[in-house]
Amino acid sequence: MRINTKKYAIALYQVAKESNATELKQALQNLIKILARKGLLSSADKIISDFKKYYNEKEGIVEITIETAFALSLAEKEDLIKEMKKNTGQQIELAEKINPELIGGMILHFNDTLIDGSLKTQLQNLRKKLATA
Amino acid sequence: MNKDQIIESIKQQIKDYQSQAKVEKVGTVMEVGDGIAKISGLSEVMASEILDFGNNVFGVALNLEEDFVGAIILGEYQNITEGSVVKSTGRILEVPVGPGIIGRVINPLGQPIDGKGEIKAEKYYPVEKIAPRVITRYPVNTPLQTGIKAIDSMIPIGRGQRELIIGDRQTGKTAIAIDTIINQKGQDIFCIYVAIGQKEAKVARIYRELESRGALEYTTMVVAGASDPASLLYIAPFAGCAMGEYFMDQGKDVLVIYDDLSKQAVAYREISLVLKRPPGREAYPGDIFYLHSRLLERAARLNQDYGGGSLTALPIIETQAGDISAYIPTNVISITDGQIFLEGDLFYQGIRPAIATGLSVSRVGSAAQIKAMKQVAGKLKLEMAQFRELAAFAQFGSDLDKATKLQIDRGRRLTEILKQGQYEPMPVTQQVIILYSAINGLIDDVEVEKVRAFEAGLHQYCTTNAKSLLDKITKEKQLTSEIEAEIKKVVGEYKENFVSLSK
Repeated sequence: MRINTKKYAIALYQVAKESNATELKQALQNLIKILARKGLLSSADKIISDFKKYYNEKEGIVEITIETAFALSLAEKEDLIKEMKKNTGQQIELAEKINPELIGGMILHFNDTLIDGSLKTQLQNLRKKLATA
Repeated sequence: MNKDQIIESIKQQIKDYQSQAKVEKVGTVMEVGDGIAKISGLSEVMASEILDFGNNVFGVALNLEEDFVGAIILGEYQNITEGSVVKSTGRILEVPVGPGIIGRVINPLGQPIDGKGEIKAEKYYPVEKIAPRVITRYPVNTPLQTGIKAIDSMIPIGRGQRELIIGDRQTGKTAIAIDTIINQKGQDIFCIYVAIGQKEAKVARIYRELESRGALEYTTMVVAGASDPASLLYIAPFAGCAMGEYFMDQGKDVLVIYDDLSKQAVAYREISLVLKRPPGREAYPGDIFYLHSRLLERAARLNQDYGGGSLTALPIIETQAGDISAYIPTNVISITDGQIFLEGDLFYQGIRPAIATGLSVSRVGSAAQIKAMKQVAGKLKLEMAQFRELAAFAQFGSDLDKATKLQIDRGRRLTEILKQGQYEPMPVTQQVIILYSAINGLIDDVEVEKVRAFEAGLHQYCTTNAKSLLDKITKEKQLTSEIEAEIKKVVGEYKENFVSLSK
């Protein structure tokens, strides 16, 4: 059977779960050796991102990407985290992205869900509505 | 309406506009290439759901796997990059249907490509639809006249039938299909011509031909050209079928031509291989049979409770060097209700349409023939079969007994009569008269070389001098002894004319 990057990530997670710091260091070194032997070092990035995804899933952490036109203030961010925590019932990890093209509003992106409340999309929808009416 | 009013109404509309954040399910592109994309995420996507890649590019989810979704991209995929966001739309792939598509040239997604403006859609029909079930169906009992003597007499096609047209390249497969479309003028039948992987020049030629003969008024062309991606070629026949089904559901009769399904099979093979589905015989995927059977099963004749409409399918398959035992030809032959087999050798002998009468059959169509045609067709088939047997002998010796010679001579004349030029469809009444005359020896004394000229003249003569005979056959739909006598009389009259004229 072909071992894909996700399987390495799962194995790494399980090892990390039941070992201490020195053991983990050794395990990581071994993993790199295995990857080098199999010529898979180029997919290390993928293993890292798969590991992150798997780790978040197992530990109940939701990563939220928030795209806004302007940088948010600290208070706004805290409000948002609190609100999302209430809704999802899970730990929240916030990633920010500034995109002036949005004009205003924000886009929330977590797991497979996208909540688009940007002014750009609203204007586009309005345009579509006016064109067809 | 002046400009103030327009501004006012736009103001009102903007005021009424409810802004609302939409919750959508999205995924990200992991890999893209060869017309397909691998997408992670999209957790609740359905099979064959439309995916929005942004910038007016859409795709269809085909492979739903554990960690990713394999999708075909309909259209340009140059602007899609790794990491692009893909939105699910919650809609199964569908095409616009309705009277607005008649006379138009559109692509398999229902977008116009003839530059005549937007398509007005009455409704949207899913491209993949389950075929009509048993209780909704009715046996084939109405003829679909192709206007081609050899087909209407020996391989008749009924409304709701699936008749395969098969043959090598350049043997006149498309010509038969186009003639059939042209002959439907004034018959209240809608025609849909689906061009799959055809050269655009050929499509343009067919378009002009249909236009100049007034056939575009009831015809739609669905075109996935040779330069379109394989995904469009693959869905083209399904899209054409869905457009036809709309008219069938309205109780109308529809003729759909798939030109040709071997190119669709090749396109589907390409998609399947890049989606890493296991290849089978000739590298086609395992479900290639189902691909064609589910498409052709949608051809149907509905009973009166369901509107009484019909959808007749004329799929075309191109063979390589006359090999009808290759994978795709055998599959489609077994699915359809008969085949019209065209042979290159006959074509080059000048027998056009080059129909191999021995290998061509129609399994249900004879139930749909009018009685008059049935009366002449039975004997015609027999005469032709005997002629083929004897013709092989006749090549060796010249001293044949009188009966054999007569049989061969008559066979030669019948062969001449079954020849027919392109774009010359003929009404069934005229077909009956000429075939009746030939099998009953009324034209045995016309020289073989002159038979075609005689036939053309006879039709002219009938339409001008014996209109009542044509009307009688149309009305009675069978050959009574009275009509037979009249045919003999009319043919006799014309023959005298013809003989004196040619001397």
